[in-house]
Amino acid sequence: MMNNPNSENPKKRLNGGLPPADVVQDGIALRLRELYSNIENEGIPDNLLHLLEKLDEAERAQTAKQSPEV
Amino acid sequence: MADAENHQLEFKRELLKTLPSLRAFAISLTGTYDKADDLVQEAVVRAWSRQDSFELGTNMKAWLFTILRNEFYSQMRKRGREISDAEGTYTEQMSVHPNQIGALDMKDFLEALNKLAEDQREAIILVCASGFSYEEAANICGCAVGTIKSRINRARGRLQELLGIDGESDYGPEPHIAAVLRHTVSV
Repeated sequence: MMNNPNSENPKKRLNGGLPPADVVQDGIALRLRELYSNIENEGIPDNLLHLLEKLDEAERAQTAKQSPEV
Repeated sequence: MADAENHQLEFKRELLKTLPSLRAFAISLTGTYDKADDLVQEAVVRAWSRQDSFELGTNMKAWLFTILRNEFYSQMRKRGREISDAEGTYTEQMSVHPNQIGALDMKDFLEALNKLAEDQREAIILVCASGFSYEEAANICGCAVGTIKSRINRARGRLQELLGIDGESDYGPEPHIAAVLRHTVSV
């Protein structure tokens, strides 16, 4: 198993969504946050962006129907 | 008219900003990318249809997480235990980047997480990873703050047990503890 030479590094990298001050920052909490931020950093997948576009279009069509004169 | 448009724009901006975290919540909650995908899509559609009821300036993240969580439990009720019984699927689904430190550790971790009771799992994710306060997590889960704290403690204990790591070490057990654990298991 690879040993991380800087065991402090993960704490510094994971700065988003800091838990409450009295949550014990043990190996469990650190790994969980590393897992979580790895996923966050994958960005938003295309199918989800497509869905948002579709919702947007549907909404615009709906608005146009409701107020054709604006 | 301008107000309504502003509300829509702001709503979308906030929604987009929250999506990566909402997705991370869904994946860590369900343990699989596929199910998480469905869940996030359902939650987004639901949130979208209720956007008029969302008050700008209030906590969009907590609002979205609550919607996704409710969706998770209603899907679980529909499908029975299937959702939390998907061991073995993470390995293929989790994208592993070659230079990602501890990628294997992360897969083990996700598997262990999925063995927890749902209420413990969501509590530890919301507070230790999503960045909610105990109060916010309690609101999202509809329980008392003390309940959230004790669920987190139980989740932590169970994860330490499953992963064989003690609370102090960042990456894996100390060699002598690992040796003791191996010994205990093989006896």
